[in-house]
Amino acid sequence: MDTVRKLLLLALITCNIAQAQTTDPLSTAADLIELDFEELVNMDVEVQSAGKSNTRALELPYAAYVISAGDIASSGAQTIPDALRLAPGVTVSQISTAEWSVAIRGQGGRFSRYVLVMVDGRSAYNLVFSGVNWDELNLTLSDIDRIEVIRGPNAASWGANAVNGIINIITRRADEKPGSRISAWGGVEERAGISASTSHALAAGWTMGLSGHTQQWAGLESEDGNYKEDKHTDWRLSADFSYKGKYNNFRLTGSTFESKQSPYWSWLVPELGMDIIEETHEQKKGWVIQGQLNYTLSEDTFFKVRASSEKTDRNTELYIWNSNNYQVDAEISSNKGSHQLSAGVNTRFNKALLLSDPGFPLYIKTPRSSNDSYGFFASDIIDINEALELTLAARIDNDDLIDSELQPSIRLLWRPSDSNRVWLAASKASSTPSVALMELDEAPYGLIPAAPTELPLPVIISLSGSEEQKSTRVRALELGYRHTFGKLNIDFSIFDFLYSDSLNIVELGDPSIVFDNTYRPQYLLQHTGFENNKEFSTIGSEVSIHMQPLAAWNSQLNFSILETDDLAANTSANLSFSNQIELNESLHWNIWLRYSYNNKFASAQFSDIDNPYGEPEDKFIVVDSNIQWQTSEKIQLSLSVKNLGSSHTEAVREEFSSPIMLIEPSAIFKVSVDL
Amino acid sequence: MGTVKLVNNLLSPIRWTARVTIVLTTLILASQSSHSIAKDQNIHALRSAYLYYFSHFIQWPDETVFSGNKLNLCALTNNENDIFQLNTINNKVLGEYTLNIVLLKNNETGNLGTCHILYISGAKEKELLSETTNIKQFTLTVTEGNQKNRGAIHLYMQGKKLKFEINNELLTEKQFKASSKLLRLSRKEKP
Repeated sequence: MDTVRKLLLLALITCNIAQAQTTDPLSTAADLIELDFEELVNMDVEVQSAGKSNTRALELPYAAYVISAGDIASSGAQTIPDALRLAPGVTVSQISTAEWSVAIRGQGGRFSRYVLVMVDGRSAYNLVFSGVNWDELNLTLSDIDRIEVIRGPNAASWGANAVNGIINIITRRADEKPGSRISAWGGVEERAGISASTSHALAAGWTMGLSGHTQQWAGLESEDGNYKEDKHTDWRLSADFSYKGKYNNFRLTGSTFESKQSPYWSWLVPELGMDIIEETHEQKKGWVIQGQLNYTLSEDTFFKVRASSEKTDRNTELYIWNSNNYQVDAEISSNKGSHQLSAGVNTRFNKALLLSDPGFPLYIKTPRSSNDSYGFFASDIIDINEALELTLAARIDNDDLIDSELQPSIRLLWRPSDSNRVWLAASKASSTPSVALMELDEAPYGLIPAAPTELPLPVIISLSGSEEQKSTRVRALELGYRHTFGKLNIDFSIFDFLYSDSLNIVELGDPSIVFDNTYRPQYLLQHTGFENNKEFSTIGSEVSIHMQPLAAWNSQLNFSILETDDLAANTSANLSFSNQIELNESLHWNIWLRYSYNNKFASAQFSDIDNPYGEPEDKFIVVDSNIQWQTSEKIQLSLSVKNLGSSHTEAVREEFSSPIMLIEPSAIFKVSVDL
Repeated sequence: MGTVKLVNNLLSPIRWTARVTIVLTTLILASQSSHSIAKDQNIHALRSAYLYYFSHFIQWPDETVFSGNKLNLCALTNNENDIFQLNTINNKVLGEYTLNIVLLKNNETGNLGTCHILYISGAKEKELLSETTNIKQFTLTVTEGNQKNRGAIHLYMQGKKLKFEINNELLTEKQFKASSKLLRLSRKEKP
């Protein structure tokens, strides 16, 4: 409880600071020039994930962080999960060569089931596991304009699982990136790649953009040195046709991709009384096409409609998993007096086919599944007076898997002075059940060895799904504070989440004896199943501080802490300290320190179940560094080193776990040329 | 455990209602006494800060004269907010120079010859067109809005963002040198 007391004390102190600042003068140009110019250019960052008209980041009544294209480039990130480590409150843990657990405020896991992940507003959601395959989001990094991360529930948006937070990856429109660029890189551990992008103005207000990349890196090696994955390769090719008119703009995008990796999976074979470990060769390929029209109906009324279709095929020795998703949503927003009204509808049709190899125990009762969902949201931002803004929002989802879910939220933003913001929120949200967990049929997942005096036979625990699954719900309370000092900005939030109807594994009946071919007792079989009967809570805080100690030195310090009563080891923390230093006009140095403490429970569901291959490390500290040299207006060189420090382990896959993989230091050299 | 108790306390209907009432009342009372917030000043502050940074990230031709080591930032605007914000950065140090804000009135456009930077607001396009001959080789022109006659740097709004584009060919032709950072942050003007 010490941690909780400290957090509450810090909140009170922060609120007192806010009150003390009410006599501050308004932000002036003299204040603003103390900030870095790059920050000024990004100052009016628009956040559209909230599903309402655009608002400045300072004015948002929720915890938000924007990772800009510049942040991604200067961090040396090579993947989207790598870039997400920049955001406070986000825990990214690498499981294997191309598998990550991404969590916001805890409750992560291989599929990030409590986070809504979107690409340009399209939900990147798979029906079978009700989550995200991060390796399939292999966007060309130079195509990304920004990644908006919202921590906490946000019902006034599109897509499922906006429970612990939202990640919206926004790509650059073709008409916002004139010119052509080609980059090539290579480094240790078979790291190599090439990316290119070009855009050209067409007739009548249209611009066309093409981009793509292909890359590879070596597979990870297990901590015990007995297993090494094959190298990962992936490529993506994207096209973008953008139109800007006086009253409307339209964007049609399409992309196709392939990703290959070879993670180790293990599963229990009851007859052998042991796990077997097998290297799988995954080949994933797919395409997506999406169109979006924004239309200005009048000076203060805006309409937006988006439609997308995507198909992904996944093939391994263990399973074939194909999916098709179709999504249509529309939104209208209007400013009327002191009200900013928004309303939207969305529909999503998912189809999936999952066929397992007979020797692999991912038994799904109905291999071919589908789910249609419909949703509606409405929100009203009310200017009570110049200093107070109230946001009322609600969302209703209707889904084939669950009954209608109402997810309301109320948010209050207070502007005690021009440089201070305090916000307060109470909301309810729910996640969508996973088809795989509902349809699972007698999958062996645990072994209790025989003990000579107490247990004459080993016990095999088999797990089945439940068709009666409900949504896991969260009730959230949040308090936030932002302040802009001369050379320092602070963003602080504290939250309290209460989860109910969470999945729990319960025993079904008594154990039965299973005999072998010679009719001798071989093992006891205990049937278990999922039940939505678990309650737990999480409380925590995030602080994000941006400083400019010198004109050429920008620092970002993020700290987050989380405490839960879900597991025995119940406190985790993350610290990130990133420094961007302009050594001279053309030479920029970025050095980034990351500290992780006890994140294994924050990053994987069911991580309280013992992994037979050990546990990830309790804590580690690493340093990333990147030097960018603009040799001329057209040529940029960069050298990135990542994970400097001792090798470490981060996470284990919660299902079909494998020996824990080591994350080791790496380095790449990159050349970019503007054509 | 402790956290559960805390959460239960926070979520208890009576405590929760009381907390919301107290917080709302406090905030509403406090907001009545807090001073007025001029939201639309931000764009003026931002614009002035941009002008400061343009002075910082651009190198003038070698033969440029800086009398008294002053870099003259001239503004042809009659917007009071712009004038207020520009005055807050007057005399700020820029390396070896000091920023000197020169506010030009309509009848003072004859003084354009001393300007190192000339900011012309969208409403003053006519003045720019009529005074083109007075703008010297070493004057960096910054324009804004939907003007046909754009300066070497042009400010424009994109959604709620203040953006700028640089005509680097024109800058190079006039022997200015823009830093790579400025070029990176700008949208290059298409010929």
